[in-house]
Amino acid sequence: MTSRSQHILASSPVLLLLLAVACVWGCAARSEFEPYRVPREEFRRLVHTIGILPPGIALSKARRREVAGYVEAALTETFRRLGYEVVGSDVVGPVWRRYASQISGLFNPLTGNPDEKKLETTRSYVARELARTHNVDVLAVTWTNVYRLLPPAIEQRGPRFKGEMLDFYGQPLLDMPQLVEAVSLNLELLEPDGRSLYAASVPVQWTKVYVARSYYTRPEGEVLSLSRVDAAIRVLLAKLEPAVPRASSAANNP
Amino acid sequence: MLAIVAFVGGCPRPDIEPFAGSPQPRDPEERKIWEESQALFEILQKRSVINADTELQSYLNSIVTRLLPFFRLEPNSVAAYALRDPFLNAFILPNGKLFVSEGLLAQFDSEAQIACVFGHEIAHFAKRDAYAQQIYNQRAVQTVRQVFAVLVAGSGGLVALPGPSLVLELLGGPHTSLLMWQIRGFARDLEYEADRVGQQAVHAAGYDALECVGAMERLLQEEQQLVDEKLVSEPYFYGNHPATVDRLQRFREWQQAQEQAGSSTGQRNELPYRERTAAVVLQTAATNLKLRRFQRARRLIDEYLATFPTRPAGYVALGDWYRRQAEHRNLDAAAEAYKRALAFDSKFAPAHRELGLLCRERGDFRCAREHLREYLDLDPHAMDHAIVQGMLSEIAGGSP
Repeated sequence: MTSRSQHILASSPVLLLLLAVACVWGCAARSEFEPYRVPREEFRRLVHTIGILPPGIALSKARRREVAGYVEAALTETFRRLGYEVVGSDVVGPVWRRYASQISGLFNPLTGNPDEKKLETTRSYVARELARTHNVDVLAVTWTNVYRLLPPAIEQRGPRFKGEMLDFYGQPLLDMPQLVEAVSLNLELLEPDGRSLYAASVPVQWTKVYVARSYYTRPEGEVLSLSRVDAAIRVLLAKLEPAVPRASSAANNP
Repeated sequence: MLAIVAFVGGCPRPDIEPFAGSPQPRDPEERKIWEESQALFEILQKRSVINADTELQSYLNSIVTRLLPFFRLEPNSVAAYALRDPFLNAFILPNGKLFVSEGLLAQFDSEAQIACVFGHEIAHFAKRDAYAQQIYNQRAVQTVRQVFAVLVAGSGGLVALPGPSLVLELLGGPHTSLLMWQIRGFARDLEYEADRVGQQAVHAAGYDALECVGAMERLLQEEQQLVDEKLVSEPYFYGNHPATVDRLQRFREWQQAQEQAGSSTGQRNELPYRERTAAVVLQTAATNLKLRRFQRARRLIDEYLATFPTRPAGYVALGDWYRRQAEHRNLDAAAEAYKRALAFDSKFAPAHRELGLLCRERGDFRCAREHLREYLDLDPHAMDHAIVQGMLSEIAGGSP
């Protein structure tokens, strides 16, 4: 291996991190997504208390808990700052798990697909329970997704993602298109019995990229760091309207 | 048709020979369209958004079968399916698969009215309008998506539900061009022609063609409600598309012409229609409750109870309506409705469940125990059996 290659590999985690930052902020600056699934006036009228389901983070157990904690903390801080009441996953999670387990699971064990009838039944009971005990209007559902993409090379100057060139020290990673893996963070605000009111997704960082004739997989400890999660949550909730006071009789009654 | 967007006219419609007998694609381009239609149908099946009630499907197809002879089409040329969609939608794919939403079925109150919709759609199919437009009018798909984004944005997606409007969700996918003509509507003249021919088909089938006026009036009523609720900015998107108001006016003119000609009226078949679509009406009401469309839900429930005043399911739906209200929540009225259901049928399990859950919510655990136990006895295989059993254990243990 040449000294240049060694240098690149040694620097790659830092540079990939920088690229991810550029990617997230670039995405945020240019994002024109519309996350509302209902008219904004309706959203503001309906949503006052948000229950947070335990975030679904596709990492190993210990890391998963850590990142789920980051996600929930970032969500809670933002929701409260905008004036929403928050019910944490320590309350919402057990309710969901209790009903889901009582109904013997929500997924078809053979196909892995959700059983729609069981899901609908569980949702209706979760909705009623959380409305009864905590006046929860929506559930914040977050999950990660790893996906593959092929950033196109432009003018032979190397692969790009959303306009940002992938490079090491200013040199292109490759002067040809390459397949890379990235992780995104997804958020949906769902009424407990199923209606989606707000949905957004943001790519966070590269997890696997082709470097020096092989694939470089980002160490799990670097994936979804606190700063990355904070940045992603800021993007996901960038268009969330501040809460309005709840009309006294306008409770959610699923 | 009913998530109506106009088509801005392009080239005049080419002269294409209509289908007759047993329709088949006549050239490679049309064959490709049929294959895409079949692929879209399979997607709908996979998404479990087609109503699985075979009796309902059989009934809808019996209406289609009455209409086909007018178009000189053989039986089974067109197959009708109900979609689990609470909004007003109906469309026919170029291969003859006709879809009507539960919302539309619930909106009408006679067989003749739905026959008007079917007649209109079959007219498009028989004349191969989609094929003609597909080839000779290359309207940008993106424009359609932008227009329908208004309706999709207003629907909430309904993750657990097919999604109002399912048809519009699908328009975001790869079958946009296929659905485009069916949903947006064709050029104004083609739509008027389909209305006219459809009405003739309805009359030829022995139905009261004047019900087409009633159908339009009921569509207009719901369209205005959607506007009032701000689910759409306006019901009509393009200037060229004949608005429902215009179509209603034309139907009234045809009605007058028929009355002057002394045309005899035909069947309306209200009661059989209401009987066959009763479950759909309550399902659509329940979905509208989830959408917070309380007015529409109440209208559907009231119509159901007016037709079936002794059926307990209607009173359970009414109880749910009172219970789920926001500003006008009335738990006493909800309890009364559930009790009324039990007065008509003391073994109606859903009424026991709802009354038991309501009592639990109100802290009346004796009442909750009584009715939840009765529910479990009446429906030992209920999907929520373990959940309700868990609640009973909690109540027995002293915690709510």
